[in-house]
Amino acid sequence: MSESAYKKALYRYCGGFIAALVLVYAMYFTTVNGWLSGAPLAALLLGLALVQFGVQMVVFLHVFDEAKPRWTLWSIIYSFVMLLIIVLASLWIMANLNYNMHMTPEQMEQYMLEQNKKGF
Amino acid sequence: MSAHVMGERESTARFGFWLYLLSDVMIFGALFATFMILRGGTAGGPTDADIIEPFPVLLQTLALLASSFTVAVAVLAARAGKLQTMKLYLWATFLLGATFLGLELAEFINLVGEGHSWRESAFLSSFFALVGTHGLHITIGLLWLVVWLAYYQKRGMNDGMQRRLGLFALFWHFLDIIWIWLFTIVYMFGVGV
Repeated sequence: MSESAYKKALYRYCGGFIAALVLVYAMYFTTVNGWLSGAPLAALLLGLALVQFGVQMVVFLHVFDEAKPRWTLWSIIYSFVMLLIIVLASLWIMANLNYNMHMTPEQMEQYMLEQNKKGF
Repeated sequence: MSAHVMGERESTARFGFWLYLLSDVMIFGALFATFMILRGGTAGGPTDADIIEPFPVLLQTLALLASSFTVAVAVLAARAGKLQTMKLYLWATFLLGATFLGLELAEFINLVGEGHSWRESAFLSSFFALVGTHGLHITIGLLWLVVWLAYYQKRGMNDGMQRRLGLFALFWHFLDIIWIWLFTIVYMFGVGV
């Protein structure tokens, strides 16, 4: 590896690290100082986390530096589709649990209390 | 790495290791889904906002991000033949990782000491399972790093050592990325949302 290639890669990592720090501080101070709350805060945090995720994947994990046919990149994309299905579908199903079991929330509460009394 | 021409063996090893990491993503996905569903199930115990102390978590995050940077520089230095720089940055990685793990253990010991163990509620069970699984990965990563350094001390650098260092760096960056989501969804959401 030539000295100039080494320097170039080093600058790339420094840039990635600084970007990562800025993003973390932005998330932390917005949350802790209460500048935002509720849904707007959630949207901001998820947005910044996604940017942070992108920075880490591109700068440090070099996902776009792979030569064709890019098996790794396609495996990652496929896994993330599966991941989203697992996580979002779980949340969706559980959020509608009462409805899907033909119970009102009160009936569900009652049912859960009775089950708890039986112990596990 | 773009500037580094990988041999057949190294690129195959890296692809195989990526497949392992992606299967690990599924484990964390299941734990995240469980946590998000159960975070309201506090059974009269503390809520997420009650137990989270944001400042140590910020320190943990900074330590892990910095260690992700130092391990990247160490791999780069190894490829450029700057072995002293590599060693220095690997020890920095180890110390930062150990700091992270120490802060996490302190958090766990505090919680259990105050009577808020994983047995108290569904929320705490899922919290300890998710954060603890990540902490276990970090512990294994630190052991891997120490073993690598011990081999390096004994045998010096060669192609195999270079390859294994590259895989370790992949593992470590991966744990950093998982932590970003823990920081966001467990800790920052717990404090502010």
